[in-house]
Amino acid sequence: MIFSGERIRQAREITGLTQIELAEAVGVNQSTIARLESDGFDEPENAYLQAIALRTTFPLTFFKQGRPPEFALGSLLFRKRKSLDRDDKARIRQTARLAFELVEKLARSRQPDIQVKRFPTKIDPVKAAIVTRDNLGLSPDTPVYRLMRTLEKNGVLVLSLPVAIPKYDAFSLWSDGEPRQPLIVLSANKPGDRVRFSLSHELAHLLMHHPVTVGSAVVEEEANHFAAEFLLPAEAMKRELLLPITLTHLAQLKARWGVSMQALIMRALALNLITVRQTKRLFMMLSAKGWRTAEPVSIPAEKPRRLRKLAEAIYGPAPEIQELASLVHAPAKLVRQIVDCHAGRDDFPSSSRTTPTPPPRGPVPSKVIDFQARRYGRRSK
Amino acid sequence: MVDKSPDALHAPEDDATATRTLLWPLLALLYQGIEQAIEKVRTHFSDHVLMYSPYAFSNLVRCHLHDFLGPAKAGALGFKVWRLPLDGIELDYKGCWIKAWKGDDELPPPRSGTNEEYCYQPSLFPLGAPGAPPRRLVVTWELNGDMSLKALFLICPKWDGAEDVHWIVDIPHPATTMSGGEHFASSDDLDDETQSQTGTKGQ
Repeated sequence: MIFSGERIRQAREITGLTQIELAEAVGVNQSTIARLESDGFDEPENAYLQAIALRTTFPLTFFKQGRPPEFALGSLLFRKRKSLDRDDKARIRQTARLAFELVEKLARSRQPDIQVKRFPTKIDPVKAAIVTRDNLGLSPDTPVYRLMRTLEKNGVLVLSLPVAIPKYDAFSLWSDGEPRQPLIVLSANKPGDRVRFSLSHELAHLLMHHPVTVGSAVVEEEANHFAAEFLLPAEAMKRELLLPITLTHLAQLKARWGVSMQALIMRALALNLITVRQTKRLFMMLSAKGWRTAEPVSIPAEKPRRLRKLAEAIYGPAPEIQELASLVHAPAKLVRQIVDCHAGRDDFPSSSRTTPTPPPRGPVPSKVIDFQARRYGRRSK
Repeated sequence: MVDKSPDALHAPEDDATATRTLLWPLLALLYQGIEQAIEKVRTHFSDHVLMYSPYAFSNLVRCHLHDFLGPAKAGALGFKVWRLPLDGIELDYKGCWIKAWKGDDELPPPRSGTNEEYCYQPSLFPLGAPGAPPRRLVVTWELNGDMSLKALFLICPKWDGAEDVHWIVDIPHPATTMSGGEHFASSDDLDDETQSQTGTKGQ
């Protein structure tokens, strides 16, 4: 096996170390680490690799297995620098690359059945959303249920990562090699409505955008337009977003369409159903209740399935983490964290199809107001 | 030792929360109706550049609320609604007679009319007690400075010469009790196509 310095870079970036920090741990200077990370050099002395392994917690064998699979930055290229810095992007990309490598090894070179196709020419995002709904077998004007599973069944590989980086929700790319597989990589533990919007947004990038010449602002705007039309079709919204729009109304629509109240407000504005002034007013009403940061109406979040499905097919219903970790020579702890972000067979009890959990009934507990303390002396008889 | 005297069993706090829970389906509907009515009236005042009139505003809110609580909703939930003089509203639901008023700094408005005085002398028999007269309650709404709905309260009023309420409890926004359906979560597994990727197909 040919040594690849890219493995050192991958381990370092997943661990969140700078070249200087790693150099200090190994006892060399930063330029040596930079040189080691460049491909085309001979394998370094074992002592160096052992020190790197110790600091990054990756096994020594990880650094001796050759170059990792090609893995583009994809839609991470569209992200503005201020929203996600270079180190965060590197950490997300390299962790996703490791998860992708695990899937590739589990799939054993069998080809996925890819149904989603990139639009061959530039297309209006609204039209693209309408066509995509049709291509995925979805009705043109009803809520999209189980969006993640729909995408997975159509050949999109969805991965979820145990990285908690603010302002990072998801990115997407087409894998190298043939056939090129569409990938969406999510950050775990996000609310269901946010995951659904992220999936739709990234689907737009996959179907419409090449990570080349287009300015990021335009591309992001197009992806948002696509996601809005895909999740909240204009014709349906004109029927359902009736004036006056109230918070209760928005909450009911959120429960029905699986999209945040704030996205619904923006959709109403985009469709000219409300004015800019009304939009500001609705946002102020959300703020007054503290709902800009923590909206009510919880939408269940889907977990991607394919990674664990592949593992279960080979190792049985409860794959040993050590066995999975040994496939990619990665720390078992990291592999466990990745695997835990994905749905296992036990996440689909047969009972869930017949007895869905009922929504909570009755008011939430709250305290009876101590009126007497306030009352005395206010109103004279 | 647990105090099981009748007074302890019907302490204001227990009574307030038990009553609110009992009436919740109607209270959630009232919240929605009052919220919508206030938005309509606020828009009316704004569009016509009218100077704010608390009297007109409250009466118009009750007009719209009465429209909102139409026969279909009354039939479905099992309540009766009466329109009283001066756009007043009274609802009959699960043994309670409930009025809807604009609040006065989170308290019921001052007793100024015969109807209000009558309302301030409610029965305090335990809820659902056989032969007990209807419980008289009030739902009040509070506005923010920009005429949006601030909060709703359920009040058991009284008039014994000192205090105006037995208890007052907030009515939570209905959105805080809603949840998205399970249909958004995946209850189905990937199909057998995945098996083919693992090398089982055609072997």
